[in-house]
Amino acid sequence: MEHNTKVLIIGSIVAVLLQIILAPNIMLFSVMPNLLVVYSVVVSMLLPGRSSVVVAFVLGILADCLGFGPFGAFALLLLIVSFVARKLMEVYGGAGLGISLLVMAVLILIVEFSYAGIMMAMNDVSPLNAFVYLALPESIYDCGCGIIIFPLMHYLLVPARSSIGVSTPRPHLH
Amino acid sequence: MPRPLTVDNSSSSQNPNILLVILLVISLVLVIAYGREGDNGVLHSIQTGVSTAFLPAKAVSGGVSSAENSAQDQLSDATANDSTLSGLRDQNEQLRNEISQLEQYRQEAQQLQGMLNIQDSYQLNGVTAHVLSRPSESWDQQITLDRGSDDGIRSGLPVVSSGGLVGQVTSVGPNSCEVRLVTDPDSGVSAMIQSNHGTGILRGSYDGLLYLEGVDDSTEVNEGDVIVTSGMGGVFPRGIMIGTVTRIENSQGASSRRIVVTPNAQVDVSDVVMAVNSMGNDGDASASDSSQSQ
Repeated sequence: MEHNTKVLIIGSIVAVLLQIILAPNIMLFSVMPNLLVVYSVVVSMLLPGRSSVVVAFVLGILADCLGFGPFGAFALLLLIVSFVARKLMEVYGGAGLGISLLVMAVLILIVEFSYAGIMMAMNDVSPLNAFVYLALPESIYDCGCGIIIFPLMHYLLVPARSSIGVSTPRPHLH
Repeated sequence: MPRPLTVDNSSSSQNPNILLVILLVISLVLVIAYGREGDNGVLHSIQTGVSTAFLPAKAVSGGVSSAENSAQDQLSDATANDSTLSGLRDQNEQLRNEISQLEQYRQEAQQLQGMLNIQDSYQLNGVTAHVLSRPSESWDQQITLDRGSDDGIRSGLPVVSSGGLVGQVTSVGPNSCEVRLVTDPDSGVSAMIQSNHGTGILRGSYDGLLYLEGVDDSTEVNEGDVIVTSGMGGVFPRGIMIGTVTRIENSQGASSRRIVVTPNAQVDVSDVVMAVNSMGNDGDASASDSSQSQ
């Protein structure tokens, strides 16, 4: 099995377990991070391709199963965002860590606010409640977690020989 | 030299677009099917099944919650200064005296309870359970209990704690069940203002508060009014404490009045609750109740 595939599988399992075990215990102001969304977005940015599409779908389905919102909603949104991530990283992929984190934040905002819109449409929820009390603080919390997860996954996932726009590859350590 | 930021496009030659479109269509079909099917549909059952499958992980989460609470207490104890310790010693002495007096009252209450037979008066029957885990997502105001269909719990049962109404059982597995809290936006409880029997529907929201809707414009509502279940509809027994009115936006008589209620029952991991099977008052509203607009 390829190194990246192993990392993806193990990372997905860890993300799911952390979402169930850790996330409810690190709530701030009644908001907890959605680590499945963060992980899926990060993988879509770092590994644009079939793998990230599969990860987005599987983690989206699991996120839908862990909650009681519309089944398939997170999967749909994460798949769309995986496509958007691929396109954005084709343009900004070599721009540096800061720009990449900004792109990650935008993608997370898209997912969370879109999900808030779906919940608003399916339940009688006011925009204030959905967007201001939940989607926005959860997005901020997700971005905070992403600042940790993105560099970690970048270190674990991407072999230096397939770098783009970089003149000096990372030396292999034996 | 800092490690450059890189992106792996080595798999891009495999063209993920076809797979993406297929999975998008599947997801869309799932969303539509979920919206159309009832609560007992296949997708709802899958959600319940997966939630049950993750029960061991939720139990671990409950353990982490308990450890976190314990650590917070220990940290608070460790950082207590002299004035705090002095205050605690005084409080300790006071409590010792109260314990002695309470023991006397307890013995007296036992005798009285035996004579009055309090439990038979309310005829409260149900299944006690412990809260296993907190909600797994911010969007869901649902908790997991450690009892299920094997213990007599079924979907739709109201759940109460010592503080009052907690919520309603929404899905049941053999050894666990999910409870939608009254603060969930999907929750709607037929409620009554205890002082004047004005009725309405209490709805949850993502800000953790409850909003009493459908109260007749002429009904007087004041801050501090106690809100209880009205028993109408037969879902929740009548008279169970729900919360207290904490804010009223706009005045009596205004059609846009918003009545904000703070829930009384606050449950956390390991707390004991009861799924009520039956109660002496079966939830039928009395004839003296004011008419309710729903």
